[in-house]
Amino acid sequence: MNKNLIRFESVAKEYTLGEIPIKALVDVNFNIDEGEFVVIVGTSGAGKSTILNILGGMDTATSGKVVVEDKDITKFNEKELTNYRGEKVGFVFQFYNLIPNLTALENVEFSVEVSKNHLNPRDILERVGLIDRINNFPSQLSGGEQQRVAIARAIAKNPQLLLCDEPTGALDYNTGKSVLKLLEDINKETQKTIVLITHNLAIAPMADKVIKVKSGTIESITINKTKKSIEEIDW
Amino acid sequence: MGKLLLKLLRDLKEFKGQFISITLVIAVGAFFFAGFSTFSKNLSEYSSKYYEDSNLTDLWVYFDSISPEDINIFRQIDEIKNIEGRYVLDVNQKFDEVTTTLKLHSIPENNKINKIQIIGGGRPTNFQSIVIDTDYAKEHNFSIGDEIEISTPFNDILLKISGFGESSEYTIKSRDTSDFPPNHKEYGIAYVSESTMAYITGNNNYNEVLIDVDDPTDAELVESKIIETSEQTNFLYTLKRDLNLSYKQFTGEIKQQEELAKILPLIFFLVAAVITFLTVSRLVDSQRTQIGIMKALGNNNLKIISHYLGYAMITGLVGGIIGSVLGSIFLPEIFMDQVRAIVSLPGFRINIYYENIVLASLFSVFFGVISSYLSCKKILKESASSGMRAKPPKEVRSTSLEKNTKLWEKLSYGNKLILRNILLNKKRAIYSSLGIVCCVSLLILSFGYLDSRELLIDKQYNEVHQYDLKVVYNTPIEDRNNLGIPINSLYYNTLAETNVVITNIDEVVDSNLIITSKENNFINNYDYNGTLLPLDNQGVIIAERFAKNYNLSKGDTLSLKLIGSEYKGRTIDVKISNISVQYINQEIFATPELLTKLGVNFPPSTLLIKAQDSMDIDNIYNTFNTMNNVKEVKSIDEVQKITESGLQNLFNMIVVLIICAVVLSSAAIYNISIINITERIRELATLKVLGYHRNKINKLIFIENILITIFGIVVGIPTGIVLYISIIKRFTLDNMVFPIILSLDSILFPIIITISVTILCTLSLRRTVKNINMIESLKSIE
Repeated sequence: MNKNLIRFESVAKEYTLGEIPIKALVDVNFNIDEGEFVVIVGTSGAGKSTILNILGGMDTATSGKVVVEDKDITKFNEKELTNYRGEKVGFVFQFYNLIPNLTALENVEFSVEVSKNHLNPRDILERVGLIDRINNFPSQLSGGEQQRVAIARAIAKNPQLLLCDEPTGALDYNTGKSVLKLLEDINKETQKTIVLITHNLAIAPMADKVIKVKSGTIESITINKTKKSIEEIDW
Repeated sequence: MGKLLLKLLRDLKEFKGQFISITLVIAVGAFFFAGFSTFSKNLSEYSSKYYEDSNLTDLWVYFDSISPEDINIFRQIDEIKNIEGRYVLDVNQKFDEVTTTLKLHSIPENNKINKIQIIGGGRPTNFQSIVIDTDYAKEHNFSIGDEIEISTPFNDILLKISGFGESSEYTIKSRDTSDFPPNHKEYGIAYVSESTMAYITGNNNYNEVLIDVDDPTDAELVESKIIETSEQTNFLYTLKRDLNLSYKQFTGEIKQQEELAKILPLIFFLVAAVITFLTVSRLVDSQRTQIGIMKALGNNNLKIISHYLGYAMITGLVGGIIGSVLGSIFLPEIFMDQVRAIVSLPGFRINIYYENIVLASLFSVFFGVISSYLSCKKILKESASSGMRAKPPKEVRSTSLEKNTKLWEKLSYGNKLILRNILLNKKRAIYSSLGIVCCVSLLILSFGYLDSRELLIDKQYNEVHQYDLKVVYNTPIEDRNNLGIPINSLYYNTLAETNVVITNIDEVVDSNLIITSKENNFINNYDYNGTLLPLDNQGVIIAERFAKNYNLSKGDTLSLKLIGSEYKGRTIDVKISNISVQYINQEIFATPELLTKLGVNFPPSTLLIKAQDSMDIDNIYNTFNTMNNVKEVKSIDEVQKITESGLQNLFNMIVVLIICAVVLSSAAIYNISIINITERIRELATLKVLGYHRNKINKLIFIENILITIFGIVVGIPTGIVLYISIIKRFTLDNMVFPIILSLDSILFPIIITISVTILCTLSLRRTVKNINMIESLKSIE
């Protein structure tokens, strides 16, 4: 059994939109172990993005504990949170969010500036299959290629945790599939914990653990005894 | 349209920082525009009315002496409407600490030309009553009914003040061109009745005749007819209205204001237009899909474009009205302080002209509408469907800087990011630096002006005039050993001064001829390079401005008609042997030897004195002031103080200018940074998510702003220097030349101020950066 990495303990999140309080998360509890590939699924508005934002240190919980590596990140101040994002977490966004004015290589190099324990950017880009495109700017790359750069950028920091928010949301079927394959391979090779958000229930079988979210609460947590490779999944 | 208006107002609220700063820059432009136009319009309307109401004479005719009967011969000239004779002479009044000069005029009972305006009391109708000018009266605390004793070349007489008055003939009460700004303590204008004057001079004769012609354009014709008719009389010379000293100076000043009214507001309007352009471009860009939707919903281009022009109209109207109202009220007040120190304008009140406010607001709206039209016309050409699609990403290329790989390699990624951002948005970077360029230019102009003012005073009173006291005797000095000069405590030089009229140039111009020996080193002439120009016996030295005005150069000959009864209208021809810079006044210098050669003799009547020990100046002053044969003693310190106070009021103007320059650059930098931040909000949010500390992000924005600022400064310095030189040249008064000089400080201060403004603006943006929501980066592109 792997070591526990993340613990959500009775996490709640409330927004006030104007004067109306909105409960985005109510009493959320789950555990994620080191090296696990976790998929969080739910319809839009279910609260999955809020979980990711809190876990990524981009947003704070209203109450409850979020323990990462035995530290409660809800107690972190802004500086500690920034360091946490810089050192421990790698992000992959739906819309890639590369810096348009930097080349592929520079984007990766730029992001590792904030991480002490980083990997060689060039090697990582080679790993994601973009060694020939390293001097291209984002606008010169296809969507799939941009997402690969984004993944390279996230893992080059050598983070504990890779957070992916609908990484295939803007990609076509085949490109999306190859991106998921890349994430799957990275999980296998490096034993990095990956948390992936999607509304596509079909890809759930590729995960070690599937967390279903509905209306701000956890609907179910399933552990796949035998997970399928993404190549075996169709949707 | 109703709902679009609602959207417009909500947008204004959302981008309030930007719209407020645009409104501010527009307001500054309108402030200057309305202020300057109101001021110059007030002055010109007032002056033309003043000159008309008081019936300022068209022609002055000077005689040695002419009897009232003799002036009747001029009445035969058809074009003449009115004619009036008067006797004018300088008289003195002795006070404990100073001897003053009053220019005393006889004034007929039925005064029709150069009518005096009585401010308090009554006309000098009674025998032995006098009207004095208000400034002189104020300096000496005179009130109506006071008796004053004056000494004339004929006798001493006691006169009772019947009232105070002003004349349009003396809006600027200077004795001559060398007396500027006017010294109201030592020089005044006074009027007595013809009978009082007859009592003083011992006869009824006049020495000046004022001619009022039916049609002012006939002045020239009348002038030549008068010269013809006056052959038999002891006629001296004539002077047309536009050559009258005070008229010339005053109308010249109005013209300069009108010049400035054109340049300065334009700068502000242009910057406002550029900022409006950038802001509305940004707004239109960010609402690209909304425009697509509006089109898809069937709104026509006109409706959409008028919606976006609405922003410019609102900011233009609000800024234009606020600025022009404030400008009309306050700017003329600030200027009037300066004008009042020099010019006497009885009953002058500042009127607000609503047409100027309307015009300023129209200009503000016009510039805004044009610039926002330019910024949204491109998007309107797109079809509704392409408008709703996201904008294709901007083509990013390697910049030219990257070819120099060594330098490029050394830069951190943050710096690479900044440089690419600037180089790839060159146009925007240049527009943003425009605000800085204007700010630096205006600051250099302001500080340069202060430098010029300081140097003017320093040069005039430390280099050109090196004496402490100027003593003028009533009569020419016959034997200087008999004067009782305390020879052991001072050095002295002598000089003679006389009025001359130059007759062989385009206009008839009167000037001051100063006759002094080559050895006199208390008054020095320099050329522009600072080389001392000694007098010689071959010719005269004239002022550089004078030479330029009348196209004179070294070696030319001047015909000088000598004024003064003893010379009987004699004219001498002199060669110009040198041309010197004369900061204050324009004089002609000659040696006694040169004049003797030409057969005229000017015995000196003035001493220039330098104390051996500067502690003794007061004693020496008192010694001379108590002497009977001394007409007046002038201390150079006193003259310097008057010049300084005359120029002091320029200071207010400079302060206004500096404040406006700072407003301009803050608005520009603030707005550009906000645009920069909102445009890259996803990028900055991503940086935050990636674990970049806020300070690092702030640093990125800061360095970018500093680079733009530095670029603006580099361009702004030469622009500012050109602006300064051209404005100083235009602003030169007839008898004051501002030396062109820029000290290191005048360059450094603008740089420091501009960089500080940038730093402050960037600091104020820290909150905006702090408020960037990281979740923003997760959203799709709008």
